Amino acid sequence: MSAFFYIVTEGVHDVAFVGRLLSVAHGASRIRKLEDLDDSLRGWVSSAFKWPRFTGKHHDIERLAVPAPAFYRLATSHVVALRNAQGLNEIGKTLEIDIEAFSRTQRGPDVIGVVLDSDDEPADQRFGRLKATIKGLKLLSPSSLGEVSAGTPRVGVFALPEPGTAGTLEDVLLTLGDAAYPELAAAARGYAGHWRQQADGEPAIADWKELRKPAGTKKATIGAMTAILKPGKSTQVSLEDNRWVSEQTKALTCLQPCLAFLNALLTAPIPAAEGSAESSGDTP
Amino acid sequence: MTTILQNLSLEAYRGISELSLEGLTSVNLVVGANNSGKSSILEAAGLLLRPPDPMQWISAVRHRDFDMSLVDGLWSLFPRGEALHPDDGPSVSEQIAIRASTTNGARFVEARCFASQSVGTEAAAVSARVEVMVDGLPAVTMKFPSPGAPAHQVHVYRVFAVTPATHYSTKALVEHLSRVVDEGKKQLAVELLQVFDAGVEDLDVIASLGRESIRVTHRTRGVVDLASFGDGMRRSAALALALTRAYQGVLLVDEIEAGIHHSVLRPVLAKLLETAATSQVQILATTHSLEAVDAIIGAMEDRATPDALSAFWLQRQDNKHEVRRYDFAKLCTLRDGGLDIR
Repeated sequence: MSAFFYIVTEGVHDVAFVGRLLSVAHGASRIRKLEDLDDSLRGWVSSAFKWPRFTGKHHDIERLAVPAPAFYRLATSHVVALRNAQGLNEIGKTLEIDIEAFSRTQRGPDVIGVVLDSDDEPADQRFGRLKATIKGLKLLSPSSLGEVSAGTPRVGVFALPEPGTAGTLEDVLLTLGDAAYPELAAAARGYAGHWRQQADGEPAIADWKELRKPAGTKKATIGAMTAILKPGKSTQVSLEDNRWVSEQTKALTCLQPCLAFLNALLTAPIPAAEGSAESSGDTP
Repeated sequence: MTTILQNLSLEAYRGISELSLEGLTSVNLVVGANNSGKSSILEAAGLLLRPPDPMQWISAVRHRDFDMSLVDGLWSLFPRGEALHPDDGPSVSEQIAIRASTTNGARFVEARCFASQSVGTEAAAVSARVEVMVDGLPAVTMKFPSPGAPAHQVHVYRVFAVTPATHYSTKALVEHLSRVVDEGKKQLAVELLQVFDAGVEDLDVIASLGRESIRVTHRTRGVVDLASFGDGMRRSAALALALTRAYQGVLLVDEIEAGIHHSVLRPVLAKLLETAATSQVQILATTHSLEAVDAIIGAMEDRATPDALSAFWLQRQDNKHEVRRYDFAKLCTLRDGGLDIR
């Protein structure tokens, strides 16, 4: 039986980024048809992504539907689900919901991964809160960021750009962009930098609020690049289709912590299934 | 909060063994796939609350199948109830065992069925004797198909059940409404009908020339038969009447959404829950509808009585039952995240 890895991230960009790492470093291919998933995963997708309840008081139109995970099949034939929690603060709740959904199926994930970042709060603080959530779900939390616990299922937590370093996915992407598209990256940096300086003097403060945030210029730089690489499409599409993560960039230092984490996650010994005498030993 | 039933355990009932609902509250939703045991829970609850009442046993049968032979239906309530073969001689069933914690303490109901061919009748017929024992007290015997008056040697609770078919029985609705009219409590039924049709003004039982029916006084249509309205109105009338009669007791509702369009589920269920709270009625309901789950969560939230709601998810596998209980907060978290809890 194929092992099942479940990784929850903050948003669509993280999902696209981790998906590319899986493709480039682990020979993964995207699974796009429900029929290509096994029964238990089909059951999960069918039950876990219905419409959220309508409270009668407020109901976000943007959240009328819950985005389904992106599924990948690794070269080893094991399956990875990348789940978009739709916000950093939603990761704990998403884990709670999915763990409950898994517990109602015949089979949950063999390994759980969580990818955080440390945009406006130190990753260790976020990890501290997440550990309490993980414990509340009766899972064994790793003792530190980047590690994978020995519980059943195994649990690993990572913080972008790397544990111990403040920053976000954009820090990694900027380095990748410099390597893959140096001229475009330089132009985008200049363009975003210019407008960041201008923003301080702009009277319509609300328009420039996002750019003035700590990671605003980095995000604008990435956005400017993806607007050129994939005009009219989202950053997610560029991350999936362009050479941000590629055979050429995968050796870059900035990717190594994340690749090492994924490697630890995907090669962790699979816990023995309940009732079986021993582990299959079938690791990716 | 009204919680007559606090825990309910079906130790042996129909094909179920060891199915427990722990932490029942005043409003309880039971969800799960077909054949997971939802309806059996309602039947068992009714029998536990009125064990020596023959009508409760008959109701358990009739709510499943209106036309089935009563004795065969009774036999099927008992564990491992292979079809009855009276030609082969008298049969003794396995034992039903239902346990609960109630407001009046623990209760344990055991019952066994003895079925045989009736003798002395012209046409061959089958009869059954059900022996019920409550908390180890001497057994009470009920004979079917013609039981006598109930022998109430133990406390019985007010229990009424509504199934997806109740509203198709004019006889049942007339009986309910007659009692409710006698008690001067038909207002809930009228108000619920007004959710569907603001022109409804009154509701009454008419008996003339051997015909009994429920008549609705309507602002524009005049006095018309309830049967001339749609399923939603008939079902809501059934729910309202049963709830009104269950005062300070328990209402068992199989498929609470049956017959009611999702667009009016919220106001209809909100009204029912409000009345259940004021009438001190505990509700145990099953549903296959996510809209009904959401409507009940919303109604409880509006009433600021979230602790009164519990949901139980059942799964049957290899003849064993898994039950997961969700309190209000957990239910909200799961539904806010889009999980289909059914």
